[in-house]
Amino acid sequence: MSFEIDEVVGDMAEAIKGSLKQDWPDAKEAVKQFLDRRKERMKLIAELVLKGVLTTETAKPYLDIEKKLLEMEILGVSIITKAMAEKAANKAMKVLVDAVKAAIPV
Amino acid sequence: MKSRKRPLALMKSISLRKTLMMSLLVTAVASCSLVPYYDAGVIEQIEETTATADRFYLLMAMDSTSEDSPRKYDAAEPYYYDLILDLRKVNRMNEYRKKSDASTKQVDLTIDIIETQKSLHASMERLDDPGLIELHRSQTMDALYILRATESRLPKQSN
Repeated sequence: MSFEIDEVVGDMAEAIKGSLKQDWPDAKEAVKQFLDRRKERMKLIAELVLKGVLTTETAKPYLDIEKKLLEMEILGVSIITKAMAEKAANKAMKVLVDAVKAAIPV
Repeated sequence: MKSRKRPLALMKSISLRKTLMMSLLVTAVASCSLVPYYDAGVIEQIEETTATADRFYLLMAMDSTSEDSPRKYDAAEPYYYDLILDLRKVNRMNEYRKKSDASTKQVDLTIDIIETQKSLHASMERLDDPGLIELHRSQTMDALYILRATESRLPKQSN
C-alpha cells in the first residue's frame, strides 16, 4: 500500500479552492500553511494502519477528526479573509471621510 | 443687527450639518464590521487551554508506569474535562462578541474533537503506542493552534 502524501495534500488544496471560489487568492497562503501542518499527521495515520496499530475501521474516527480540523481551518480562512476585507474597506472609508471633511466649508 | 445674525445662523447650520455628516460617516465605518474584534481575554484563555493540553500529553508521553500515568484512561479523564471546561469558557466570552458565530463554531468543533479522543481513549483503557499518543497530541494541539491563529488575526478595536 503506497501513500502519496503530496498528491493527497494537493487534491485537498484543490477541493478547498473550489469551495472558496473568489476568496481563493487571499486565502491561498493560509490554506497552504494549514495543509503543510497536517502533512506529517496524515503520514502518521497511514503508518499506524500499515503497522497494524490501527485498522481501517479504528482509523475512521481519527479521519473524522481530520475532517473537523479541515472545517475549522476553512472557517478560520473565511474569518481571516473577512478581516482583510474589513481592513481594506475601513482604509477606503477613511479616505472618504477625510475627503468629505476637507470639502465641507465651515 | 439682522445682517450680523444671518451669517452666524448660517455658520451654525453648516457646522451642525458637518457634525451630522461626520457622525453618519463614522457610524457607517464602525458598523461595517464583518468579524468580531480581537479579544485579549479570549487569546489568554486559549493559551491556558493549550498549556493544559501540553502538560497532559507531555505526561502521557513520559510517564508510562506510575499509577497516575495519564496513559490510563481513569487518570486522563480529569484532563479531558479540564480541556472541555476551558473551551466552554472561551465560548461564554464569544457570547458577548458580535459576529462571533464562526469563532463559536470553531470552538464547538474543538470540543467535539476532544470528546471523540476522550471516548477513543476510554474504549482502549490505556493509550500506550507512542505513534498513537503523538496522533492524539498533534490533533488536539492543531485544533488549539487554529483557534489561536484565527483569533490573533482579528482586527483590533481602535477606541
